[in-house]
Amino acid sequence: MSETHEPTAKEEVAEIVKGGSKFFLRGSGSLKQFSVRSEEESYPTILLEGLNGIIDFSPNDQVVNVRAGTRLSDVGFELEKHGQSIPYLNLYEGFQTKVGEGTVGGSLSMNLPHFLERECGTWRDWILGLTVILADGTICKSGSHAVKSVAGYDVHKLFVGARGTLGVVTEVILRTYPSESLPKMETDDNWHVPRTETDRLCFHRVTAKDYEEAWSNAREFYSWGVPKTSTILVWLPPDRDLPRFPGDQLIRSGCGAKNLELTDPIQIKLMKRAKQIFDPTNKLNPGEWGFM
Amino acid sequence: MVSELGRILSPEQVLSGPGAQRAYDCDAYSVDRSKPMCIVLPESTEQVAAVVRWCAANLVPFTGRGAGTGLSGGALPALGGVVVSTKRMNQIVEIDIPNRCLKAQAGIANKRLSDAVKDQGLHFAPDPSSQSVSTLGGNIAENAGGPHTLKYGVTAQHILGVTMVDPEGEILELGGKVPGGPGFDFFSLIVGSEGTVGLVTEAWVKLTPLPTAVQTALIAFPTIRDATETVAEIIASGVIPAALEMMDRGILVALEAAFGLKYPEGTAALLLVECDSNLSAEPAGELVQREIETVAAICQAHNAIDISIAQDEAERQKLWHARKKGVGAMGRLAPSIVTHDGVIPRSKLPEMLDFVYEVAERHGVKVANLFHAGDGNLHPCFYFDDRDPKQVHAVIEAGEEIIRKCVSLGGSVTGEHGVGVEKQDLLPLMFTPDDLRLQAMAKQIFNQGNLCNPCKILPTEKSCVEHKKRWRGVAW
Ligand SMILES: Cc1cc2nc3c(=O)[nH]c(=O)nc-3n(C[C@H](O)[C@H](O)[C@H](O)COP(=O)(O)OP(=O)(O)OC[C@H]3O[C@@H](n4cnc5c(N)ncnc54)[C@H](O)[C@@H]3O)c2cc1C
Ligand SMILES: Cc1cc2nc3c(=O)[nH]c(=O)nc-3n(C[C@H](O)[C@H](O)[C@H](O)COP(=O)(O)OP(=O)(O)OC[C@H]3O[C@@H](n4cnc5c(N)ncnc54)[C@H](O)[C@@H]3O)c2cc1C
Repeated sequence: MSETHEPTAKEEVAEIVKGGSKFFLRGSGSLKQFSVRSEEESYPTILLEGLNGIIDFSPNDQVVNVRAGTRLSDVGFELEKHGQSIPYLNLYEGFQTKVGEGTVGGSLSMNLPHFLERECGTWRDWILGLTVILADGTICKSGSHAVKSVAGYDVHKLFVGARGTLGVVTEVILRTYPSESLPKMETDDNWHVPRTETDRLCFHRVTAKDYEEAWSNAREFYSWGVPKTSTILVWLPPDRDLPRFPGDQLIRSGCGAKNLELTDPIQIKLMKRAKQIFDPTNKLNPGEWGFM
Repeated sequence: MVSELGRILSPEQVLSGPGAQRAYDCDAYSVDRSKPMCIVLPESTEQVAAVVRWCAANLVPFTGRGAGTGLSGGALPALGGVVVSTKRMNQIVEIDIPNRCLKAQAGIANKRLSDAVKDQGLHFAPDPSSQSVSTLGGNIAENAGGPHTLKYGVTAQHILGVTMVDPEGEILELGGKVPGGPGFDFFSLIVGSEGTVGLVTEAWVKLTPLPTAVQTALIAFPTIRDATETVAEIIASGVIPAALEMMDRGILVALEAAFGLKYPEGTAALLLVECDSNLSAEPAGELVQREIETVAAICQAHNAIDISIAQDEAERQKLWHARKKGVGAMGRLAPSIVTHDGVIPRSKLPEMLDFVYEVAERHGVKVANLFHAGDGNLHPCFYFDDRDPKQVHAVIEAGEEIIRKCVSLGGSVTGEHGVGVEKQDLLPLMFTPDDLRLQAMAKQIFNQGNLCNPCKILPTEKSCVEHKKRWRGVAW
């Protein structure tokens, strides 16, 4: 078992990052099984749960500034006191992970599909700014508290979905939504289908045109469909695959290197270039994307 | 250069000579100017790529240009070189109604996108006031907003994917019909990068259902405070209006002088509030009715002296005149006007507007305000005589004070007009050198040679633009 750092302030994170050569980052660790990196490697872990708490919340502005290690359920609880929320639903059943237990930093770093995406967008639409520790230990920020700003490059959005490979997110400024006006989630479901312990959660996102067909393919498995975003969450036995569609996307849990197969050469080239600029010595989450 | 580019494209696709150079030496921010060596008018992604490859091989700077309505000097060819105009790239490539999206070339005017799908009950939601001419490529580059941004979001929220020629001349396709793919989110970075990371040639845009119910109200208030406090309270109430715009007395005076429009006696400020819904399942009419009633009640509680709610489309258009004609009316008030663009957290609006008037008074300059109140996006508009150096000086000082205040309240130096060359000096108010290095790193992912729209955004690059007149803000 290798070393675990448990910083409680961003300055500590900066020191740790500056002083070491390879780290795994962890929020609550709930989405480890979506990771592509091989299990054999072991490096010190930086546990970010200690960086928690709301820094400021202005209900009238509908803007919250929160430390990245704060649990989603804790943020949700504080916001709800003022009738507001982050439109990432608080669901407590049906997942292998304990939903709501995850951290803000972990969730935005994964940017997985969710149920209110069509109406409310995703982390890239909610994030107004952030503070991040770069691989060389520099503390930088991007964005502001303003709900609308075109002051320079929106670098904060680059960290959404980056899976902790470009920097350690320590603080996040988010737009919040009035809970009352949140839409109801509309799903198709196949809950009557039994599932087993070994089934893996998998997302399949297709175009609207292909949704019906993709959904019918998922029918024999325990699954949820979100017609509005043409996204299917399906628990697949390890030996089964889903038929693919043009332009679709697939993300799996628990199948190691098969979790995420990025094939677009342009995307891969740009990602390598970004990694080279942001983290040239491959210090942060080595192996996370497989090809980097 | 002209003949080589003429061989790559065709000779009539290359403009040069003093007339052409003058026509392309600035955008709508006409304070700073710089002449290009020539202008090219490519018709396809491949032609853009060929031009860029030639520029890269010959170390010639190049700058993209749409309609040239930018308000911060983004399309100004700071180091000369080639201006790549998208004027001839104005076609819709594919309309996909079932997937609610369409693909168009970058040079198409914003409004044509909506016109193309109106009959299907859809539209392209970003609606900058310049939408009849400003282009999709320019909107993407500036991450343009508009009156309906409050509810529908800025351009970024409506772009699904782009085809871009990178600064080396390679064609990149990022994103597409299926949003939210895994991998780094590069096109969020491309949107709003003011043409400094490559030339966008085509884009997939999201189409949004047109509202099925709309309620529009114009409300008159006896004091500025009553109006600004109402804005903050509407937002806090949980109602998200489609638009929430404010016009102060200076604008009303201009509207009356220019168009004879009259507003109730004793009005210090007007709010234009529009609520809409495109729900089909729930009765949209009822929802919108409820929202506008909530709004009206809040206005009433803040001493509104008049609340006009449009009963039909004709009346709605009339109420919008106060907003839409306000800009034009301002132009008739004084030889010069300078419009600033700053953002604050919206709950700070009352405090901020008091400050704007206080600053104007202290510097002895006249100010009028017409702005996206719901977003906290101010556009204080100074009107003055630019032949009087004292007035010019006062306007500069007052403008800087206002922008500084925006930042100190947690806001931003620009909400929609961009940094360009205009606000490079102001970015350090918001960002430390380390923060700015982070931005430079992001830019470097795409642009390493710095030939693509050089001297923009980052203060470290500003040295190459020689500012002619040091007033900030621009004349509309
Ligand atoms: C299909 C699905 C839908 C979900 N929907 C919801 C929902 O609607 N509502 C809800 O509350 N929850 C939801 N969840 C759960 C929630 O998304 C996860 O709990 C959360 O995303 C992961 O948080 P974590 O702290 O456990 O991250 P971890 O598993 O610890 O980390 C995830 C990744 O992010 C990296 N990382 C973590 N923190 C940082 C940081 N600070 N900076 C940089 N990188 C970091 C890690 O290295 C790792 O690569 C959903 C989960 C799934 C699988
Ligand atoms: C009367 C008036 C009203 C306005 N109202 C608004 C408003 O309500 N909201 C708002 O946000 N803005 C507004 N603007 C500002 C301006 O219209 C917007 O910034 C618009 O998006 C610019 O589009 P354009 O086609 O004119 O771009 P240009 O001015 O030609 O270029 C703007 C920038 O985009 C780059 N660019 C252009 N095309 C491309 C491309 N294909 N690829 C890469 N880069 C490119 C240029 O290099 C430049 O940096 C207004 C301007 C005027 C004059």
